[in-house]
Amino acid sequence: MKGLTKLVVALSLVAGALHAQTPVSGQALGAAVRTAATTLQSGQVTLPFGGGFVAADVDALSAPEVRVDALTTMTSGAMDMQASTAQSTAHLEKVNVLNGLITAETVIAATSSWVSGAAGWNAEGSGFTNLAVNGVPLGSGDYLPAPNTRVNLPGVGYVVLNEQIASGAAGITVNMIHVVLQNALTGLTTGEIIVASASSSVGN
Amino acid sequence: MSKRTTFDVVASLLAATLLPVACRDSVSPDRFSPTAAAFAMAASPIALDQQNGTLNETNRALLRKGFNPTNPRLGTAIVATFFWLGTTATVIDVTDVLADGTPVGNRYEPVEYIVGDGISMATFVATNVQNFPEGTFPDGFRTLVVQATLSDVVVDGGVMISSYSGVDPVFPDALGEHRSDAGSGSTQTIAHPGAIALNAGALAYGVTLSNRRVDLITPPDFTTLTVGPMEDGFLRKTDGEYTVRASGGSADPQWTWSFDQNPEPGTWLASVLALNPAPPPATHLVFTVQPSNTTAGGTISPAVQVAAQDDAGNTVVGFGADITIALGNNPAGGTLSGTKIVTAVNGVATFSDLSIDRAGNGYTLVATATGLTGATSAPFNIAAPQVRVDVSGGGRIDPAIGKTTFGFDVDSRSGPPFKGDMQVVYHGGTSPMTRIHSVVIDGVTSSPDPRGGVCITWTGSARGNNGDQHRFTATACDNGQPGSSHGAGPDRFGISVDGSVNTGLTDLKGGNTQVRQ
Repeated sequence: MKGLTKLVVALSLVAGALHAQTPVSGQALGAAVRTAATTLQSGQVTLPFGGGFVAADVDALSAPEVRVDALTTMTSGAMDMQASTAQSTAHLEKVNVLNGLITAETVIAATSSWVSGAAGWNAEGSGFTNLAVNGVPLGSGDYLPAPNTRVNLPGVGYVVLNEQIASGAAGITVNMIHVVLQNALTGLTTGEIIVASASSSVGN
Repeated sequence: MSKRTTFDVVASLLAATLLPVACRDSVSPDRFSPTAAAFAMAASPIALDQQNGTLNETNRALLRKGFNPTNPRLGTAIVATFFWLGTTATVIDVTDVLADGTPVGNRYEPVEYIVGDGISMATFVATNVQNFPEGTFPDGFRTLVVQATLSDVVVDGGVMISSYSGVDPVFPDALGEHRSDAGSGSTQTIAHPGAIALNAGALAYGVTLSNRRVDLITPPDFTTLTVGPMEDGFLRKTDGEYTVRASGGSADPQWTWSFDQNPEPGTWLASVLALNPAPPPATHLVFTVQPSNTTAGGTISPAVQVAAQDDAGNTVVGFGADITIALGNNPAGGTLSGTKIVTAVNGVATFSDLSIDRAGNGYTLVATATGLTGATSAPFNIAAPQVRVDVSGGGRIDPAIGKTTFGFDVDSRSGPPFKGDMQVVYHGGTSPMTRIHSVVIDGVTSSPDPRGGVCITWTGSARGNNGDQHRFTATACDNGQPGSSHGAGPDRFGISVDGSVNTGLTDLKGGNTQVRQ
């Protein structure tokens, strides 16, 4: 009996230690393009193991598929005996995708993840300002489409706005603009454009 | 003829005091010179108050005279010169009493003592006399009497007493130069003790004694005390003079004794002393050491100092009353602790243990003293105490300046400068994105968050878009709830840059802050 008590105590300590060591991760990305003609990633940051803070600034991005006046990406996280948290943001100014097919004054992707007794995540803080797709304004001023809103781009493919991809109990990735390029005749995917991406995760 | 170089007194303390002042031609330090300029253009406050004298003290060891019928005013300086026949008797002490025998207790300091050819003369001074009734007393019972106890009975003696208002109340500061001399002659003879320097506004008191009863011409540039010229069959003749020089200079009272009127040669004694005027009174207080910025609960260092000054801005070293300090402007409802009432020393009160318990900017202290115009200190700041925390977070706020995203990780457990980094981006309207980055953190403080958690504030320098250096203050509040749970309200973040850009402490629209203590 005495030996069993010791075993229970030992397991509790191990559980506590595991909780304290719950790893955090985070990433943010200004823009990424993968087409036959272009492959790029701009403003990518990755949270170091153990947490901390990383940021990147790009004063101007000018690719055939994406133009951005300025962007800043950040990711931060921390872990201790009480809680582990991670959060990421991508903040872009004057976004123009595919020569005006998608435009926005401001695009912000934001995610937050935590484990503190319970685990959770959200993408609160994400949003657009003056978003227009196919030349048509969506919303007015500040606007946040429902998660995973799909809008067709005739002759080009489609875009998913506010794309949210959960992973586990405390992991989330948000791509504010995810364009899938398709062959107009075959419908096959020919490339991808991601603008304003943030992800965070705790314990995954 | 001989000239005494010391008083023969029994009290060792008195003897120690006498030695430096009884020397012939002695000159005391010019204590008033540093502030003499302050009086240069002002009329002297010194004026003759009361006087009296006698040469009728015969066959006794106690020479005494009262200020009948009118006592001096309190606070005046009394100059008492004692004359006696013979050169063997010495002064044991000088005291004052009321005529009814009540001791008064003022301290009479020996200043000059000279003997020659069978006559002796000693001059004592008491400053800031107290403890007797002012006024006129025809019945004489409450008349202030000044008396010298001699070591032996003398055949004949006398006293000349005079009081002066406006003299510095502190004896060492009041007494200026002083000296004595003696001489003899059988023709018209000039008697003078020698010149002494006078500070601006100082009084010069001169006295002479001769063992011959002959005509005397008084010094032309002095005023004769009405009790100065005295004569009798034994001591022969005395005179007392005074002058007040508003602009200072020097004084050398010169009497002319007509010794040619007597078949025997005559001997004269002469003394002169200077009394400095009281410094101008303190009228107001000034913070001479302003309170410095410090942390809540910490002692304000260097010690705050408040001086009592006169209208010309000079510290009045004679001011020794209490000065009280209190909070003036109190932006955070703080409490001032420490010794708040301090007695000024040499006109300055030092408050060495003041502290304030709450952080806030723009505190002031107020100093007061009875009868003086008070003073308010320059504003100063009290910071929250330095803490040992690690705070990290990031997300978005929407303050008035525009959508703002931020991230940070600050570790105050070492430094300053403290480990950490922060970036803040805001974008308002059509203005371009502004970035605050590349921070150097030099202060981290903590305060309770009413929402249940804690707020951490860090300050330092950062770069802006053009690489320009800016000062910033950032605050993150962890509501104490896990993750982004609102609890009593969301976590908050705010930053001010150079005091011109300020998001205010704003609820997070997204993200999280985490404080680890």
